[in-house]
Parts: sequence; structure tokens; C-alpha cells
Amino acid sequence: MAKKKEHMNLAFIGHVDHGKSTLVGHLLLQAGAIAEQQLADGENKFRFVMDKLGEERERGVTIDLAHAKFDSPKYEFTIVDCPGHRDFVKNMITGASQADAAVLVVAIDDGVMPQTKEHIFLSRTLGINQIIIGVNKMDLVNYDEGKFNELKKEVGDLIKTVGYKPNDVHFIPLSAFEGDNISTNSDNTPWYKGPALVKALDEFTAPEKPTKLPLRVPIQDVYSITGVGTVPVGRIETGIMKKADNVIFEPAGVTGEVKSIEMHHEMLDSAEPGDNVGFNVRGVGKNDIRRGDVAGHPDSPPSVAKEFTAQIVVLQHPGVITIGYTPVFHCHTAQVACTFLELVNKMNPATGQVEEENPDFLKTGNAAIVKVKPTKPMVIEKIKDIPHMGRFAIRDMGQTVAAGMCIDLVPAK
Amino acid sequence: MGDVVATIKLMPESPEVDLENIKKNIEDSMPENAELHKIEEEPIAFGLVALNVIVVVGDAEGGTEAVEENLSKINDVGNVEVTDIRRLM
Repeated sequence: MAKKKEHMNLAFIGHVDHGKSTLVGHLLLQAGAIAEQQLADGENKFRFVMDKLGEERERGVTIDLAHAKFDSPKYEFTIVDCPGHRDFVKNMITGASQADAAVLVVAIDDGVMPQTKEHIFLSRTLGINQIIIGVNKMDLVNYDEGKFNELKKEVGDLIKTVGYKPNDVHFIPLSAFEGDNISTNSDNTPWYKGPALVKALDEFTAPEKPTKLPLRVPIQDVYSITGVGTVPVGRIETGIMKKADNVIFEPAGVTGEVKSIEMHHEMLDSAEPGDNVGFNVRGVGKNDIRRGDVAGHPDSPPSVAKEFTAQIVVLQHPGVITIGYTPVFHCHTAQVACTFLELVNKMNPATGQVEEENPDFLKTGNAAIVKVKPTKPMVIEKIKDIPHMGRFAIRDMGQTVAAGMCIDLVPAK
Repeated sequence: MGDVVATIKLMPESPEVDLENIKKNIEDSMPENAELHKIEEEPIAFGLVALNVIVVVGDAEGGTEAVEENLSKINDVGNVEVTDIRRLM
């Protein structure tokens, strides 16, 4: 039997008007994920499908389509078309669906927009290390190579500032509407020598499960179950948890022994990253630990930060952020108010260059390095040590005001 | 503007709660701007069953906030977490 294809979660990011949905639709259609029987005969099946989706299709079909998988020659992909509004950023950072790679869509007629910059920063914060740039709507500029190269240079400079290497990234001229360079190279862009989108997707590397990193299980909830005992529930982010392991919960500081692990009501001997588990611990009471605590092994326990240094981008703030500001940080399952102690510097998001040392304030659109102090003990990890545990969204007044990652920390003990 | 489909996971307060009753309350708790698509049961561990609530909201200000708030007020619901979001075509 053929080996099962490796699976990847692929995020589509970029400005909502730059044709992301059309591109996703066309990709699903050309890759066969939209079944022929869902189509009627017509000159342009794709436009037909999009019209149907827009007007008549039942909600259930569009929802199923949003969760559809498609196969490239090498991988099985699930596509996540990311929401455009900033109020969903919190969910993208703390939610479970981690993208393994991303396609950034930029329309040639609009170029780089503020939302494009934000999404590039966020994709880095979300730990997406592999990216393809889709330069869309090439039909609107008559497939002009010069215009393509101008935008390629601009986007290349931008992605360099957050650590992507433009020379290793495919920039693909596309027309999602006409279907150019999606599954095969288009005659409309004879000057383009790179791969079509589907071919480029196959050049991604499948992510390895982070089993070699230290164990980290952010606790979602804790139960006391009759006949079983204390059962914390959570998703294994990194490392492996085995039956009979000793585990420590931080910042609670209590330890216990894992007596049994269950997932989908089945007993497991060990659990690995991505598993949503409940585990019975002996030696820990229900009230000793709570949501937001993190389980790890005692020889490499979760880091409790007294203070930490973060790189943030301010997404939307009605006023300005100054020293003393204390919004709520959402990090894994924890929600902790943290006070801004120091605004170290402000960076130009377009170049990554420091624009100002010790600025007086930060406002919407600014990227900055800051020092913050949690108002109560909190587990967070340096992004370079355990990326899954180092990112956060900052919420205030019912809005996601900023997002960021922890780049350094002062341990509490 | 477009729509977003969100999967929101509800953890019960204990394995003994009446899931059917929670499901009914979920239907009644949808704010005006949200459309309930379906509710799926997900067995977790030691008898605990989570409910995955699949709702459609606008790709707009507030996001899933109002839905999350209403769901978290339902009796016997321990906590509420958005586990997946994606735009609809």
C-alpha cells in the first residue's frame, strides 16, 4: 500500500480584498477538492462555482469547503483562509490550529497595504517559517514583468525585516481569477521561470512534531472525577508525556505522578504534541492547579517569568501605549495582566531598523521592543527555545490591541 | 466583508452534566450576528465529553467575542475556547 501522504496546514494570509478567497477557490477546484458533481457544465466552471457559492449554495456546503483538504503530488493540505479583522488575532495566537506554512497574497494593483505588513509580522509570531508570496491580479496589469519585479522587491525587503530570506522564497505571479500559474505555468507570463503554485507548495518541508523539546502542557481545565481523582485537561504543545512520569505544574509549583492518560476516552501509554488529553495525577488536588498553569517535567520545568522582554506590534489602540499601561496578555491558556515597564525601542516595520530609542509612547502600527512585568506569576518561554509557548495577544477594552513574542525573560526563581 | 466559521470548544463542568440540555441552551444563546451551524460531541477523557460548536460570524469587529461570552454563561459549562477559525468563500 502507498504510504499515506504527510499532512500540512496551509494558511492564506493578506489583505481581504487581494483575492485570497478566489485563489483558495481556484486551488481547490484545480486540485480536485471541489468535486465535479458539485459543478454544472459551463464555459467557466470556476466562475460558476464562485457565483454559486456567493448566491445559492447552502451554508453547509461552504462550511465543508472551508474545511476541505486537497492533495498535491507530495502532501495532503488543509487550507485555512485567515480572517482579515484584527479581532480574530487572539484566536489565531491562542487557538489550536497551527499553520505549518503560509501563502501571502498581495494584489499587484494595490501593493503592500498596512494589513499586509501586519500579516507578515503575525505569521512570524505564529511560528510560520515557510512562506510563498502570491502576487495576485496580474491580469489587471497585463502580466507586466516590470511591475511584478517592483512589488517583488518591496515585499522582499519587508519579509527580510522579520527574518524570512527573500532569495529562498518563491514569488509567483498569479491571476486567481483567470487561473494563471496555479497548477501549471501560464502562457501569459513567459518571463516567469519559477514553479506554479501547486508545484511550489510541494517544496515545503513537512513540519516535525516538536517531540524533542521539553514537555509543555498548558492546562485548559482541572476536574475531580469520582473514582479517578484529579484530572487536568490540555493539549500537549511540545515534548512527550508518558504514564508514570513525574510532572510539575507551574506557576503553582506542585508535583505529581501521571497515573493514566486518556484521549478520545482511550487509554494511552504516552501522548505527543497535538494530542488533546486528560491525565490523572496522583499527589495533586483539584484546587492546587488551575487553567493557565503549565505541566512539564521537573528536570526542565516551565519558565515562570518575573519580567520579560517582548517584540510586539500594535494592531489597534485608540490612544497611545506608555510606561505603566497594564492590559491583559493572552498566552497559551493563561490570561494575565502585565505592566509595561520600559519601551526599549521603536522599529520601522518596513525596514526593521530602530527608529527611536526609549520612545515616549507607542501607537497603532508601531513595532517595538518592550519590557513587561506580569502582575502575577505566569509561564512564558523564549520564542527561540519553545516557540509554541512564547507568543501572545494583548487585549484591552474588548479589543486585541497588540500581538507579540517573548524574546528574553527574567526567571522568577 | 465576508464570513468566518469558528469552532468553539465547550468543556463541561463535570462528566455528569446533561449534554442535551447544554445543547439546547447553546441554540438559545446565539447572539443576533451569529449563526449556529452544528454541535458535535468530542469525547475527551475519563467520561468527559466536550462540545464543539460550529458558528458563522462576520469577519468584522468583535469577532467571536459575543458568542464566547454568551456560551460561557451557560449552566454546567466549564470553559469556552475557540479552537479554529477560517474565512468562508
